[in-house]
Amino acid sequence: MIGDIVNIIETKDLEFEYQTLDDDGKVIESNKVLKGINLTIPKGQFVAVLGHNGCGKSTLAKHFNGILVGSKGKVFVNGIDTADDDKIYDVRQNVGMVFQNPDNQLVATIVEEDVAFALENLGVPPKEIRRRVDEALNTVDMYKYREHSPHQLSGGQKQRIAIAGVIAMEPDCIVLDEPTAMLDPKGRKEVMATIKKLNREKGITIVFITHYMEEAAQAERVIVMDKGRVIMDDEPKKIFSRVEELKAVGLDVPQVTELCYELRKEGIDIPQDIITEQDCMEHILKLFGKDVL
Amino acid sequence: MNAVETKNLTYKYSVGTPFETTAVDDVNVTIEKGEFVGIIGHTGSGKSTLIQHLNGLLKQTSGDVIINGRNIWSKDVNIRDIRFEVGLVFQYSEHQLFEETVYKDIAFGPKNMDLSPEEVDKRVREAAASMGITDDMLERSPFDLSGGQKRRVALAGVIAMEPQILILDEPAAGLDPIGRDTVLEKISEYHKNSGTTILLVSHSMEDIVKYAGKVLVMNRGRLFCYESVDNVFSKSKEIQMIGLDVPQITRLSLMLKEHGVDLGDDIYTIERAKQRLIEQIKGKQEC
Repeated sequence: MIGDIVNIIETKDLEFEYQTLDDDGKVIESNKVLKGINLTIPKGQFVAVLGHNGCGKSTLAKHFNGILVGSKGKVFVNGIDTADDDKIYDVRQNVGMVFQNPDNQLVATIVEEDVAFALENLGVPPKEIRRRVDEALNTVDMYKYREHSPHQLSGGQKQRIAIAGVIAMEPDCIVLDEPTAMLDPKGRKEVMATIKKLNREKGITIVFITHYMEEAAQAERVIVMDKGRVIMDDEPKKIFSRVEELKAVGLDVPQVTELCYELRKEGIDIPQDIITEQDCMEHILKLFGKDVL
Repeated sequence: MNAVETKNLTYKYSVGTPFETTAVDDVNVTIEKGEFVGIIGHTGSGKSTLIQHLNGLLKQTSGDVIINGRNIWSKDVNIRDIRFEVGLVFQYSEHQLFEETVYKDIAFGPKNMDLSPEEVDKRVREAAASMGITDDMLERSPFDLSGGQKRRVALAGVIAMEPQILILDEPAAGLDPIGRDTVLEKISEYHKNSGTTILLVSHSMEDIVKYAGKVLVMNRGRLFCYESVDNVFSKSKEIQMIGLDVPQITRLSLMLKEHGVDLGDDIYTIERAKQRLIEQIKGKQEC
C-alpha cells in the first residue's frame, strides 16, 4: 500500500451503534449514531463538517483516528484499516485530534513540555524533539510563550498549544472537533488563521467541525450531517445557497447569504451563491451601477 | 426607578503586591427597571468582575453599588437579601446541577427561602415551564438531558427564586444553533412576561442585538459605552478597534458606505438591511 495513496481518509458503509448492556451482558438499548457513511477525503483538503448536536459528527470524527471503531463497515487512514490493532499507532500518528475544551487537553506545567509530551512517548531522540517543538511553536506563533505555564494563557493561545502538540508529531491530517466553540472572537480568529496556515503552507489535511457558518465558509469543501447520515457534500458556495434545506436541519447560513436569499425573494437580481462580505458588496454595488476597482 | 446603579465603581486585585491590577476602573452606569441589557467586552475586559459586584459576591475597592435604591454595603442592608433580589447565573451553569431529579434541582433555591411547600411547588413548575422544561422531564435525572436542556434547568433553578434582577453570564456559550436560539428565546419570553431586569453577558454581538434593548460595552476595565441597540453601531469602527466583533451584516453596511451606498448607521439585522436596500434600489429606478 506504499506509494500513491491519494485519499488520506476513506470510510466504507460505516455504521456505529452505542449499546447499553444489562448485568448479564444482554443488550437492553441500542442507538445507531452513524447509518452508513461513505466518504473519501483526499490529501491536502480543508473540509468543514456541519450538523446540529446529536447528528453524529463528533462520533464520525472519532473514527478517523481509531478512537472508535465502527460496528459495521470500514475506515482506512492512508490505506490502513483502523480496526487493525497492530497498526493503531501508525493511524494515530497520521491523524491528530484537537478537541473543544482547551483546558482538558494540556497536561504539562510548561508550554514547551506540553508540546514535547507525545514525542517523548514515541521515543524521538532529544535533539529531534527540540527541533520539532521549536518548529511547532513557531508555526502556531507561540514560540515566545514556550516557557510560560498554560494557565497564564488565553483560551485561543491554549488551543494553539494543543494544535502545536499535534503538529509536533508531524501528522498528515488534523481533525478538530469544535476547537473554537469556547473561545472569544479574537481567540477564534487566531485559531482559524492557524488552521488555514497549516493547510496552505504545510499541506496538512484538515477536518474541521464547527457550528460557525462563517468559519465553514472558508473551507474548500463542506459536509453536512443529519441523523447519522451525510446529507450534503459540496463546495461551500453550493452548500450555503441551499438556505431552506439547511434551516430545515437546524443550521444557519452566513448573514450575507441570507440577505441575498431575501433580496432574491423580492425579485432583485443577485446570485444565490454569495458567502463572503466582499462578494456580497460587489454584487450590491453592481445593482447601483458601480464597479469595484 | 433604577434597578442598578454603580458610582465610581473600582475593583483591584492583589492590592499592595507587584501583581496589582485594576479589573474594574471607575464605572458609572445606571440601568432602569425592566431593561434587557447586553454586556459585551473582550476576554479580560472586566465584564465578569463587574457583574459579580451586583449581588455582592465581590466587594469593590472603592465606589458604590446601588440596587433598587439601596447601597448594598451600607450597614442597614442584609447582603443575603440582595442575593435573593439579584440572581446570578454563571457560565456553563449546567456544571452546577447536582440533585437526583430535575424537580429537586430547581427546588433547591426556593426551598432555602423559607417558602411554604405549596409555594415552592408552584414556583418550580412555573420556572420549569418558562424555560421549556416539560413535566415529564421533572422526574428525570438532570444528567440524562442534552447540553441545552441542562442549561435551561440550571436557569430555571435561579428563576424559581424570582429575582428582580437576573444576570446571566454567557448563557448560550458552547451550544449549537438550535440550543442557542432556544435558550435565548426562552430568556426573552421570560423578560417580556415577568418584567424582570435582565443583564446578559455575551461574546456574540449578533445574539445581543437580537434580544437586548441596550448594550453595555466594557474595554480594559472601563465602561466604553452604554447605548441603545439602535445607536451603538454608529460606533462600529471603534467597537472593532477594541477587539470586538460586529454582526457580519453590519460589516457589510460599513463596506457599502465606503463605496457610496449608505444604508444608515443602525444596520444590525438582515431584515433592516433588506428594507433599506430595497428602498434605495427602488428610489434609484424611479429617478
